[in-house]
Amino acid sequence: MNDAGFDRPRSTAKVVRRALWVAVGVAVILLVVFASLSAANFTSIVQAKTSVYIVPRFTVTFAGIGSDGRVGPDGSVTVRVTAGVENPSSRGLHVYLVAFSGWIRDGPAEAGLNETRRLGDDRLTGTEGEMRFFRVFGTSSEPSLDPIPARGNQTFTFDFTMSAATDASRFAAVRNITDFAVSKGGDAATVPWNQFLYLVFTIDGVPEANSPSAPNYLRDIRRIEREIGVNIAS
Amino acid sequence: MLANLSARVPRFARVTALAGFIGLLLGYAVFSSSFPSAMVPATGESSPLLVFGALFAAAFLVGLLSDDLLAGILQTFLALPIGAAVASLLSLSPVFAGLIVTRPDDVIFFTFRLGFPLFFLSIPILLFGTVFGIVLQERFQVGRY
Repeated sequence: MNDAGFDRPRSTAKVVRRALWVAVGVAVILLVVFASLSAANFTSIVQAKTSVYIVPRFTVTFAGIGSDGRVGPDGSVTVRVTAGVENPSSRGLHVYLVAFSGWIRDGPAEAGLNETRRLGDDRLTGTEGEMRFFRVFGTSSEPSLDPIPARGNQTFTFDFTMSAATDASRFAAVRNITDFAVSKGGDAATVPWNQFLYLVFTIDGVPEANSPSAPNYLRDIRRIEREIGVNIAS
Repeated sequence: MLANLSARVPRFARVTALAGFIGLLLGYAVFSSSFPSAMVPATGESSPLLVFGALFAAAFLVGLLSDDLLAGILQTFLALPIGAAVASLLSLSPVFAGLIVTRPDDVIFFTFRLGFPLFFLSIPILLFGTVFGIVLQERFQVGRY
């Protein structure tokens, strides 16, 4: 047997070994690339979750106000919520949930003129002490709205209207409260309100964990929650 | 003595390189199991079968290239702290980008609390894959030094 007979398996082993090292090298390069992309992806998700903010504006208008300043039985109250959503992140967003609650300060209940509402009203402690607020609106929906572009903004307007036709008992309470304000020399529009807006956005390109055993944080990671105002619901 | 030391350097370099490869994969696997939606490509939930399969395949490859059983076992246990460091770096990437949202040690603790089962289960998988690779290497004389 000559030297070549011994060298052949040894050189084959060398080639195989070299091929295996190349495979390890390629795998390392792929891992570094995927790890870097994942880190960038994770950073952009965290940036979206931390940087998105809302510029809100609430306007309350009464329709059907009579010459005496009181809201008539065929009148209505509308709260217009204008939410400007600023998205400095590199991720597009979608509005997933809009929840709104609106309370009017309950003068008659605070004065002890309406025992039922005095006991049932939500309370807010402020500089004037404990105030009672009657909940006029309490609603949530999953609307289909325009997306918020990456590094852009979008303004949404939501109108919440109540009249005797939509909720007779609550509207009667609103009228009672505004009438009380008028009787004290004020007008319906000057009665203080407390509003609470809750928006949930979903981040584009972040899949949702669907299995029932998935931990909560995997469902939450694609969602951005923002609250404006104080939720005094008891 | 110097000749003995210089002979050990390539062996040490191989052990370190292979442990680094396994550690990189392990760290990426721990991070991907904690934040699968941040992966590329993103998924809602990580697939344990895929993760363990990848770890076993990598350990097998490392076993084929290992010097001997001692080196194989050393590589596996050396890969654990490397994996921990890689997972920590990946989970802290938003902090490095200036998005300080919480204390860095909270992020690391959160990642490891979620990734601990994978980290723990990876030890027997990596050992088994490495030993399997070494056995095949001995049997077929593949990749012997």
